[in-house]
Amino acid sequence: METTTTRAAPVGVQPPGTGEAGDSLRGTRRWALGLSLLAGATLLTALWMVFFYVPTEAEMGVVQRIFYVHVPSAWTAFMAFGLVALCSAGYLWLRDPRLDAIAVSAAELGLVFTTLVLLTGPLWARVAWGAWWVWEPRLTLTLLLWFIYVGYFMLRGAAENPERGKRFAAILGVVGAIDIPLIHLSVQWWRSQHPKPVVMRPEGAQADPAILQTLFVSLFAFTLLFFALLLFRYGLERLSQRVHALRVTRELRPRPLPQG
Amino acid sequence: MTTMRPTRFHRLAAVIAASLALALPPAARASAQGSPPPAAVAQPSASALPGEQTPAPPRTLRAYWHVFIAFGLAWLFLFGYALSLGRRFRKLENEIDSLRGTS
Repeated sequence: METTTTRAAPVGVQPPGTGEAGDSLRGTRRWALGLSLLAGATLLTALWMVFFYVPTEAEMGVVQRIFYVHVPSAWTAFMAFGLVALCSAGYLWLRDPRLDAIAVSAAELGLVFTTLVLLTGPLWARVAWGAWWVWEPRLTLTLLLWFIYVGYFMLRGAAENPERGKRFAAILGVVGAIDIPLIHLSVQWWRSQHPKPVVMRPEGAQADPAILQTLFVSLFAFTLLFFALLLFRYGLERLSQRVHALRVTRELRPRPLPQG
Repeated sequence: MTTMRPTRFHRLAAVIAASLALALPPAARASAQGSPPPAAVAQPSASALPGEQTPAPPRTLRAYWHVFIAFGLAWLFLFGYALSLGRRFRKLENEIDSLRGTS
């Protein structure tokens, strides 16, 4: 049962779940639920296409189908870390806590999707190359990206002053994004075992139309899933910020003097 | 303002560990099918030139296993993450209720 308080909150601290802020959180959740349903339907369509629609690739065989989960995961991770860089730069400039909330949410999702890239890639490589892992430029840089964003969370957690932790993490979020174009260009710049891009190449996309269609549906499905999870995670971060604000309000409240 | 608590990090690590633990038995079975002859496998080579064609991988049952493990892991991992978000939401909402209840 909810209880009400008549005590005024300090400036900048709003009791959670009430007023404009509460409405905005409810709106975020509604959007997240809507996007989740859309993402679920698109993911099911993508799965159907992967297993029943797209023909088996002539050279690689059935193992090439890992491509439809590996590539969209990589695309989503890059998008997430791009968003981290943008919002971190915005946070360093404007010091808006909402930008920091988006950055930390996107960083967590980026880490989840990069983990998927690092799990699905070796499963393909074991069949295609005969080795789970090869220390070649693209794989090494992707592993580095994963470590950079693990460091992002460690920096946030390690700083004694939370504001300072956020600033340091934001700087790492901006600098770490330099690794993204390096990963993309590594197969062109250096001698690499990794297959070349099939879509983003100077001479245009080169693949069977069914393969491209399935890839685009998978990319779209993962993008929708990313934004749905981002909205949920953002709502969670804002809620967490409000819990912290509520705790501060309680700590700042004057306590009654002891009797006698 | 919030900071990353170790518990949140531990939960993410637990999801990764659980996914790996579930994937290991089928992976072990796939490995038990035996490796294809070495000559048929495209070995990673430091001398591979850019654009050079790598030989096609052998058509074995192992490839099917790897595809199912990859998709299974991906779905399990994402589902586990979504569940962890839900749990964290509930925990925070309970905390808010208790903070408002005692204020």
